[in-house]
Amino acid sequence: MADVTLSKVNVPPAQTWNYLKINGLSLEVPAVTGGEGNLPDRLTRIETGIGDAATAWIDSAVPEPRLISVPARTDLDEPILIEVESDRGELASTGVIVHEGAHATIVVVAADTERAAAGMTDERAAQSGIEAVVAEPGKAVPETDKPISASLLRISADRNAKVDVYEYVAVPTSCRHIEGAAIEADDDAFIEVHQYLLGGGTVAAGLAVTQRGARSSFKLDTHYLVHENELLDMNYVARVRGRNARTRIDASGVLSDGAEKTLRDTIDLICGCKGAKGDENETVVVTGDNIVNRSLPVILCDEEDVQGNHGATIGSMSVDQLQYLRDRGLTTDEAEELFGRAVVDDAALNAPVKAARNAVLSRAAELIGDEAAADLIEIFENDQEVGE
Amino acid sequence: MSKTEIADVDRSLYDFIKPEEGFERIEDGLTPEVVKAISEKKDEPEWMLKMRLEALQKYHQMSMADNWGPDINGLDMDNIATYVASGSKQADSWDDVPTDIKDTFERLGIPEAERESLAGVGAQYDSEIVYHNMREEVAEQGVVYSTIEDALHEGYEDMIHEYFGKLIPMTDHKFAALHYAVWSGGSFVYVPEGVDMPYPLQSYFRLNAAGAGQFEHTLIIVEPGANLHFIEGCSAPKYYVANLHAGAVELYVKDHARLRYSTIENWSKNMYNLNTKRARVAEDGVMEWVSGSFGSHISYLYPTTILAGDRSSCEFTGITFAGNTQNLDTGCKVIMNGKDTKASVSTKSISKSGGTSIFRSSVVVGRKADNATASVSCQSLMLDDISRSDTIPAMEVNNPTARVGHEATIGRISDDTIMYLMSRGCSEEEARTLVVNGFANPISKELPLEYAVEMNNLIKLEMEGAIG
Repeated sequence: MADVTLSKVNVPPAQTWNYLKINGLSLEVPAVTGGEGNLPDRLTRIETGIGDAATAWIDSAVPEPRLISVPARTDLDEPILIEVESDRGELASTGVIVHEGAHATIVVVAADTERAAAGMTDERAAQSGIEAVVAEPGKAVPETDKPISASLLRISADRNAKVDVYEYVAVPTSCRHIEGAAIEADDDAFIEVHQYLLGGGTVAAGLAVTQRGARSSFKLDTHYLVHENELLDMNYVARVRGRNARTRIDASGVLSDGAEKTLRDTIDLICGCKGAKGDENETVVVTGDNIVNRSLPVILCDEEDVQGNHGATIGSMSVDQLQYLRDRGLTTDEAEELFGRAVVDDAALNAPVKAARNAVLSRAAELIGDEAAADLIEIFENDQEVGE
Repeated sequence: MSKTEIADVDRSLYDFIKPEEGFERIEDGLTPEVVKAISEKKDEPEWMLKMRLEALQKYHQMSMADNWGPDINGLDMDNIATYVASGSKQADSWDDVPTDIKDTFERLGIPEAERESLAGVGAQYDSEIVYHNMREEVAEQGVVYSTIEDALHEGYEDMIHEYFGKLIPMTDHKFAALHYAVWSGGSFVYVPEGVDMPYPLQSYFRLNAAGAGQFEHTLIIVEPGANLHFIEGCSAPKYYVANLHAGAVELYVKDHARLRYSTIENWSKNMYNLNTKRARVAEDGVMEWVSGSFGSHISYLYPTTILAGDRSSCEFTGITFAGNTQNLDTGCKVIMNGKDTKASVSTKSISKSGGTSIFRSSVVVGRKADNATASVSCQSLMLDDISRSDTIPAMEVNNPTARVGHEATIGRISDDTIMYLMSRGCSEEEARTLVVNGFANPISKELPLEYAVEMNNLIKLEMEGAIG
């Protein structure tokens, strides 16, 4: 099937100078047909962070999107698990309606599942006979040769509903992935999203939340680690309409050698959201050379009675931090590796299901080296409880 | 607490109109004939005419970005006169300036400021400089302060050719191309090596004609070790047709030199202010921008600093006050290419009475900019619930040793603060004005005294009658 170009992926609500190349991402994807997009209107009308073109592409590729309804005042015993196999270019579309007073946990895992348990790199996978796109020495795999997977999750949370979302993206450098989310929160709804973005040749993560309800609360906590020759592109949008709504977007991550990352986060304080508060925070630690870090933290405001704050810190380890670690016997490289390891450890330790943990472990060797990965795997060999 | 509502403010200090009788006004529109007529009038070298015609072509070929920025559809270039001039000769004594024009600048306080605290003054009225003068002792140090037109005819053509249009290329954006096609007036300043200017130079730009554009070009070269403070002021009376300001400012700060460029922009609220300013700073050079944006209907204004030399630094301190009918998209850009460079950006914006204030910035740290440090701080104050305030800062870091920090806040004056001040005898209007003045204080203290006073008066003017 011929490729099509999605030219406006992850486009933020307020754009800026085009020469900065920060206004969106362009992706070549295979042309697809067959999807009917038969989710209810209350889900499909919600804005997604990845943009209309990417949303339509996923919708048109998934013949039977999954619809889950969580009845009012129920607390799901098991998390709702959405698994996407990146190496097969799998696409998933899921709609979840969480009715009044209900609680649901949703886990999205995007990984190369065949290699997930072994912590294999692309090269090792190829040696083991597992199908993988591996570049010739000194050459990068062309972007269009990389399979592209996607997950689009739509959530509508009724009043007093509570939703915990965990998104684990740990696809190999030889794959691309689109992680889309659209969330709507009614009065007093409480949404908490934990994202662990641990790699992929190109990963586009877009999330939009519409806080239409009064006192609704949205918290996004994103941790990422971008490896050599990988591109991570994020777009987060919070439309705040409800009175006294609370919004918090925290993103922190590590860029290693040759990594490229773009983060756009927008809090849109819309007229009428009196008493609302929105906070954005970003911390980027740079541990390698030849990096590209782009940030576009935006606050849009047409309501007087609100508070909006943003803070960002971008840089390498400070001399003091480095000295502290050197004094304790670590080399500079080891000290820098600690930051990457902290992200991976955090992702593994907080994994709510085994599939998520395995996804982390599948990339651990590539991200933090064989020795550290082996340590991590050993820790979890003695812990069979998570998600089982 | 009652809400603020707009009441028209008295801007009579700026909103007076002088007749255009006897003025030369080149026909509206943009054609090669118009461009040739402007060039001929100035008796320019051939290369300048060639540049103008090339720029006109580029202008017609280029388009504005359609995915960001305020709407400028109300600006019809077919109805903008690109050149209007009184026909009087440039004077170096106020007594020789035509009465109406002299009266205009008297009312704006320019001659008085010149007497009291300036090393030199240039005054532009519509398309041409009508007054230019500099203190003798400054001229004796080799400082050149003139129009670019004069400099071209007085032995500086090679220098102008070397620097003019190099920092802001005509392909920068559509209105940069327009500027190079029809530029007229402005200032040329050359400060020789090691000269420390004790007093500022000031250029004041007044656009009096309805439906006209002002396209002045400012070129400043501060040689190694020299120091200059340049002040730019601008205003216009209000009309019910669109006026356009598309000037260009090119600043060269050489090794160990320092330049402070202060602007109080108070165009009338029918003005489209599409100005371009850029500075290039060499090793150990220092560039300081102080910018107050109060006027115009639409503004696109982002002074840019290129920190090219190692250890060069820049500071940008700005305030934007957007009121009724205004959409002011302002901010700055910093490009850090040298090692150990430093940039500090601190801005405040105030929105009221339906005005829109947008802070837009970019900090780009290049691959070779080892140990670059940048901090950006932006604070916005919303004075009512019919206005808008956006902050759109972009950062791009391409060097692992760089450290970039950014913080932004948007909020309003708390009821507690107003209550506190009112309990001590202030009226609500006084209390709000006091808080807004306090908010703007970090900017006004960076301005020369008379400009700080003007800025505080502008804030007072904007706040008057604001409580409904």
